Amino acid sequence: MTTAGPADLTQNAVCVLACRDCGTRQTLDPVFCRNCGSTALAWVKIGGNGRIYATTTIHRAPTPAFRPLVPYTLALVDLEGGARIMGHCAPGLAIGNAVHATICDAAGVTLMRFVSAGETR
Amino acid sequence: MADPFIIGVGNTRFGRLDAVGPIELMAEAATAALDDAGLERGAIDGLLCGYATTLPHLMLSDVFAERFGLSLSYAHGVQLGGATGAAMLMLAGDLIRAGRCRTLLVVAGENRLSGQSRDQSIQTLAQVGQPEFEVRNGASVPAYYALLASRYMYETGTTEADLAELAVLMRAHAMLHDDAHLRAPITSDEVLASRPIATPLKLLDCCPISDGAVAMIVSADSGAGVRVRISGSGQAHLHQHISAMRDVRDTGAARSAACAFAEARRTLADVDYLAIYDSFTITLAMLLEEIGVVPPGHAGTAVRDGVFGAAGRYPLNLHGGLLSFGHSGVAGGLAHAAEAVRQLYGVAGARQVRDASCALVHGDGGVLSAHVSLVLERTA
Repeated sequence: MTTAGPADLTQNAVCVLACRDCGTRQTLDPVFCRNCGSTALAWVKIGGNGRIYATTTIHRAPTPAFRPLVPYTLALVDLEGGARIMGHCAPGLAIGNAVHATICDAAGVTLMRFVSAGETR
Repeated sequence: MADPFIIGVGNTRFGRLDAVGPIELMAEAATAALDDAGLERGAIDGLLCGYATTLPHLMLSDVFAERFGLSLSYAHGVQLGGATGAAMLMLAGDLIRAGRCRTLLVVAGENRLSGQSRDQSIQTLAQVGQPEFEVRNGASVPAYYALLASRYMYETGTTEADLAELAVLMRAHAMLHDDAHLRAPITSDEVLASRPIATPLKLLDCCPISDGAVAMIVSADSGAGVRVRISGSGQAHLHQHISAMRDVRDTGAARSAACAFAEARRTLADVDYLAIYDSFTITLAMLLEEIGVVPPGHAGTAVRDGVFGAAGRYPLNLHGGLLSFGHSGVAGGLAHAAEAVRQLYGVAGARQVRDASCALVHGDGGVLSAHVSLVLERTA
């Protein structure tokens, strides 16, 4: 399914750029496919399953909007099928844990939030 | 082809310097560097200056040159985050080798602490992250480095206690420098008990925000006697954002250092002073280990073994680093090089090591994104 871009968040899905020529999913928003160099990249919505690559719990928020949320946990997640993405994360999870993407409303915006695989929140 | 020599160094005190703007701080450091070199302003034909978050300007170099009374044939600013200081020295060296300039002033400074709120500073710096994928989540520079830390500790077995050793070491070194921002002694237990910022990083794993400026004179005119030459330099840029970093043990630091060593025809074995960027304790551990000073996971043990003290095999950041001398932006990174130059000239006073003759300077900008390495050598 094609989509407008990374801000188009829905339950159990994440948006990434994918190569129309070779299918490779991209981390962030490169101009060229990291595998084949094609410029035919389009935003797609994929299932949000992956494993935690890195994680931290924030105790000092960078903006007033995030201050009521502290402590909150962020993670870098390696998605199934490629691509690494940053999102909020349920507390208590460790590197290597299987997770999937949900959404949450926080700091006045809708954010991606990874939870333990098999759980809904 | 002329060799580039660093012939003068100057700095302001670091810390809270109320009611002094970035240009005034830069001017104070530049005056001190000129005095140190025994030069008048008229001897300067080129200027490289860092950016100031408290004075964003399209052409800070010319603003500074006008205020400081310089007439120049070459000038511009450089922006490469924490690597800016090392990058300016590298470029100054290349401009001299190319014959473009004869004597350059390299300067940076700002009132990063007193000129804005902490929130403002943290938000400005957070923008090194990717806006839609990273910053939007309420991420910040400590968050990016904390994510790195979690992965690096997972892969190498580095512990929070190991990282704490680096914070304690930098503080012990800063205690011997009158101009350092933070000089009260700290213990490893105090580092471990300090309040969490972004786990596993705690307050004392993070550098402070400081006011301050540093300047250096780089010249083709070496004069007589002992001189410090920029013998080699190198860079590496493999990513900007932490999401795009491929390998926490191959961030570009080793590639950058290898390039500088090759140009200088030196190796790490020749080095007897280290000036390594330390925005966080994890930054310092990762850089030391990737460059190969110690094996992965061994930085803390090496501190305990005395490797990085003034009398150790690799004296490290004897001014106290960003973690304790202070971080006033670009000048914070230049301060590492300033101390290296003073050590090589043998004018570091109470901090002086015996017979320093070859220094490695390494700066990183972003999230271990931009790397710049310099090999500095004492020549008779």
